[in-house]
Amino acid sequence: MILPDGFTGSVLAAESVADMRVLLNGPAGCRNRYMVLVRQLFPRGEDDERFALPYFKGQARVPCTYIDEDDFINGGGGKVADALRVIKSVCDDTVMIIDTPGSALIGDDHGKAVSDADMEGRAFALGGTLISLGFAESYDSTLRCIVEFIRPAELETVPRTVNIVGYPMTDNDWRHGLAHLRELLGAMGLTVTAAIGAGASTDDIRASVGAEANVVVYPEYARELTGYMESEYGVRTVVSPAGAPVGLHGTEVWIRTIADALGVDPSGALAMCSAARGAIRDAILSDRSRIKQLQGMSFGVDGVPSLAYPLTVWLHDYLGMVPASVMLNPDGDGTCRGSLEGYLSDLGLGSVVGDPLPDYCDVVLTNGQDAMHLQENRRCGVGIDVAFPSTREIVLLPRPTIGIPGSLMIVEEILNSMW
Amino acid sequence: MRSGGPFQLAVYGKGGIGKSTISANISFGLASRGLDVLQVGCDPKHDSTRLLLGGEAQDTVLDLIRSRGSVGYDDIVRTGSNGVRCVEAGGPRPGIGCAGRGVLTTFETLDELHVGDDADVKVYDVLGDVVCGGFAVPMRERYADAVVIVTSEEFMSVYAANNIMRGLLNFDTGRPRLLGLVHNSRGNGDDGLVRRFSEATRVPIIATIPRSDLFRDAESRGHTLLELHPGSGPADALSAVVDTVVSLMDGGSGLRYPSPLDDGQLSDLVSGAPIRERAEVEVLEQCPGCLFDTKRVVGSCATHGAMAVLNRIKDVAVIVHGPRSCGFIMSYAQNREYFNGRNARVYPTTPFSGNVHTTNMDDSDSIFGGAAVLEAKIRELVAEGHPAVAVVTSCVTGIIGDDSKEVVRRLNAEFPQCDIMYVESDGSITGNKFGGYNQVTDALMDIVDADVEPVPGTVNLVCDTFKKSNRPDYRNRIHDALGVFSLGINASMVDVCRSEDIRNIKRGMFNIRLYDNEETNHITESLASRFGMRTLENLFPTGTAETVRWLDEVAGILDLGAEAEAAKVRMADERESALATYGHHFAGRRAVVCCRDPTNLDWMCELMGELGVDVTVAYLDPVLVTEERVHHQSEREVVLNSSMKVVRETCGRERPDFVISDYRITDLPVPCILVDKSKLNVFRYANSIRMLWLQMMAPPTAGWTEVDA
Repeated sequence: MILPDGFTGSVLAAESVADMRVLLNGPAGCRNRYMVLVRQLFPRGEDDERFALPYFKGQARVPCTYIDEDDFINGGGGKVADALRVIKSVCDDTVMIIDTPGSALIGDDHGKAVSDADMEGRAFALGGTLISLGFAESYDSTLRCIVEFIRPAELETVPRTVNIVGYPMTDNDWRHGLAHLRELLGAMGLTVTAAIGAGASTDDIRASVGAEANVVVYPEYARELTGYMESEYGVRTVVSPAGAPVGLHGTEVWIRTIADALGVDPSGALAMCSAARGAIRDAILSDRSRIKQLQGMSFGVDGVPSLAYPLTVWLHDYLGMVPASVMLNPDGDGTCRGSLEGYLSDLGLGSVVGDPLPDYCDVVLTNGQDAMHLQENRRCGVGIDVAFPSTREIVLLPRPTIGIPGSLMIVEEILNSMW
Repeated sequence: MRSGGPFQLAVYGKGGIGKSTISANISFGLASRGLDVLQVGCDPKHDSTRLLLGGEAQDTVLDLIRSRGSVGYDDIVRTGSNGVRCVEAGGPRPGIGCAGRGVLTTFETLDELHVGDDADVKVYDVLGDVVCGGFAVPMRERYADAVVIVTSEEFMSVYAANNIMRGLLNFDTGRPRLLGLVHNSRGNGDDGLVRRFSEATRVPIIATIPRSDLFRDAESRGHTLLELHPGSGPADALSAVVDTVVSLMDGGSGLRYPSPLDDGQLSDLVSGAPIRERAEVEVLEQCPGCLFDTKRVVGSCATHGAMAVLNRIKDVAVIVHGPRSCGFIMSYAQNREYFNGRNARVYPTTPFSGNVHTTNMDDSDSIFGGAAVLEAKIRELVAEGHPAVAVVTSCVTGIIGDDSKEVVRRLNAEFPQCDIMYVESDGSITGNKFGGYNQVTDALMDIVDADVEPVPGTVNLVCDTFKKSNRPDYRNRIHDALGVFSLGINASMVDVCRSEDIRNIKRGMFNIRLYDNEETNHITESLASRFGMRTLENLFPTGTAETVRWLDEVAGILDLGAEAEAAKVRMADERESALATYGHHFAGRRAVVCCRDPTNLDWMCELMGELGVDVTVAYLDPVLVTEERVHHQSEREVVLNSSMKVVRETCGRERPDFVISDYRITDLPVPCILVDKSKLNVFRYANSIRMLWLQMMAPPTAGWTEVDA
């Protein structure tokens, strides 16, 4: 699977803000698939009939200038301004103009287009060389730009409130995942002010500067944002040394880290983890043949380091499985990468980092498309969909990757793959 | 530091006119007045700051970004004579990549690193003609408080100066920004052209720099003339420019709007004739002819179309020559379609084995060209042993003009063991997805083995997409029809397959088109013109009349008339038996027929007739209809309109018992039977009409649509 670069990261980050809309300056080919992707990741229930307008073409998300060959040669700045006027006529959203990789070569003056459309303060262009950035890095950087553009007024810190950051809407079933994180934090007496990058609105972002801390889910997606909010607004950053709250061990460390940093009681949230451990134990014990098979089963992980690290630790230490291949996304978190390499090295398994999958592996945890592909081609016993792009487009029952439900889902997939 | 940020001066002029020399002297002169100066060279030839650095060339921003990935302040800024800070943007070699994008990247880097934010003056030395948006960046309000245009008395130089004035008007910020012309004399003694140009455009000449060997002397010693020959005539002229800038910075006036000449006036200027009245010069506040135009909007891009075909060929390694996101979104979309298709039983297997790659073009490749990364990627895939590699280009490669074709040609010669195909789809620049589709099928013709002989009893199926025709009910139709003559399928072009299937397509005795559209016909026409392959005149049939015609055509080719006649009898028996069982559900009812695919009209009307249903009115989408394509044989009038609104109004007025349509029509007051060709199998008539009847029994509205339900 070809991983997306910073262009995709920026489009999705901007579209993750509830009342923000990306105006894509580019040709139709780029728009169509992002439009589908955004609708799928963050359905808003908008009535498409309202958007039977130029630049929208009857589809609410990711309006586009539809530049063509002439515009590539002569410039398409007039379309950007015109599209902004159309957007203004149909909604009050804040608009981020993003050039597609091709149109970025034209060099249209978007500042002028914003001014011509009388959209100052409501529209802005994302600059930078997006295609040179990694997906996570760009998702993070775009959110920082959004906060910078909104420029929230400083607020008094509200005790026992936090923001969830570093949780992109590309994470599997992010809405149930977010509800779960709120539940865990609630069990510690914490209230979530904003989930920046996972559905927060511009008003939520304005309020977010009054939170006591930013609690980080995947550090790869929040480095720049948290740095900015710390330096500009004094919002503290809490990052778990175990990476993301993935797998029960990772989730427990995440809970304890937040509790220690904010001086709250983790026992309620940890009790939920204990209950899950009990359920997993019962499930394993329900069939003796499974107990025999589970110990020593091989697994491969492919993802950002803050996902791969807690998963590897948990699958090895708790389920008794052995990592055969650990592929780390290059734009990932350096701390988790180092911790994971150290952990595997201590086990005498340092060489599996970067080692491709063997011909056959019992379990592979990776993005949904690769997971399905590997399973269909009999390269693994079960491919578990734990990352973007997922193949589970419609999710009604909770199946996030993170937290307790994610841990249960993973164990369920593994146990059901045995015979 | 100056309050309000640095004063920004952009020096424009035709390439080779001496603007770098003048810019360096201006910077030196400004620094001599005690100002903190930053000079930024924005010309790919990167010699703007040489005279401030003792004749040394400095590393350019773009070279450093390319070699290191990212840069810091100290990497790109050098301090030269009089403390002038120097930056060179750099750029690609002529004819490669996108130099304008290089300027954009440099400015973004300078902004990011806050280079010169603390200076008093920034001087931008910019390549002469405003050839693209990148080179116009220094003209934008953010970057230019004032603009100076350097010109000589040569016409092309004046012509470029005029274009720069036009560009400046296009970037009008609501306040004048042109300071004046600097006449860099070539010393031919005739300054009349510049003077007349100045008068005609109402832009003053703020200095005339005389031709002097002192420039050559200073340059050969790697310094500015102001530094080595102060008090000389040329130095006085240069100082006059510096004085004008300083005066402006101190609040003086002198900025103005230019009045660039139109083509006729330029012609008068060069011929020495009196300059005619000015025609209105176009100021592109907003390009009136290039706003959103539905007729010009393409639904998707050629790269996507190309990928849609190539992804189905399992052993072809596909390279999307473009940024990673382009490769991602193309492969993501295709994978999604196949995985969803798997669920819907449209595809018997996932068609690919992780064979989509990308050249991962980044900003640096956009600037310097992507041929090298493409070559490296092809070599890598050939080394991995892929029998075929297809290169699909994207918008980015199309715009920067990479000569990818030459790379492919060269490597094809070097690696005869691998078919390297070239698909110049160029994203949306050269067409829509159908264009990309056809480009791939053209490329595939090159791998067909012309020497293969037909194998009796086998045929090829041809279709743009096998999405619908792979459904089990459609497959049954194919199986039943081919079974009449005991025919098997040699290849399906282009369904999920291996390149070997395409190579051996000539094994099929003839081709059968499953749909009638441009892409399908393009394939069969290519097979005919390149390899003399026959394609049945009749489309794969739906309904009684079409099937009879198709059976007759195939029987004629194979000389199997008895088999065809027996099949016709079976069809009739099957129909009679089916109508006896299910016919009463339909007989005597009234229906509205709606088609978007014109090849559905005949069989849908025929089916209604067979079922004893009276067709109130038939609607047909006018978009795809040409006279040749409307074969409607009933005597009923066909209305060329497929608007849902019209159909709804008709249903409200005429109250038919149901609508039968090949597209989904919502909010109808009567049941809507949605059909496509897969729904009617004349060899399994009973099953087909049973399913139609069940569709008719579906409730017209569903509870979930009610908000409070």
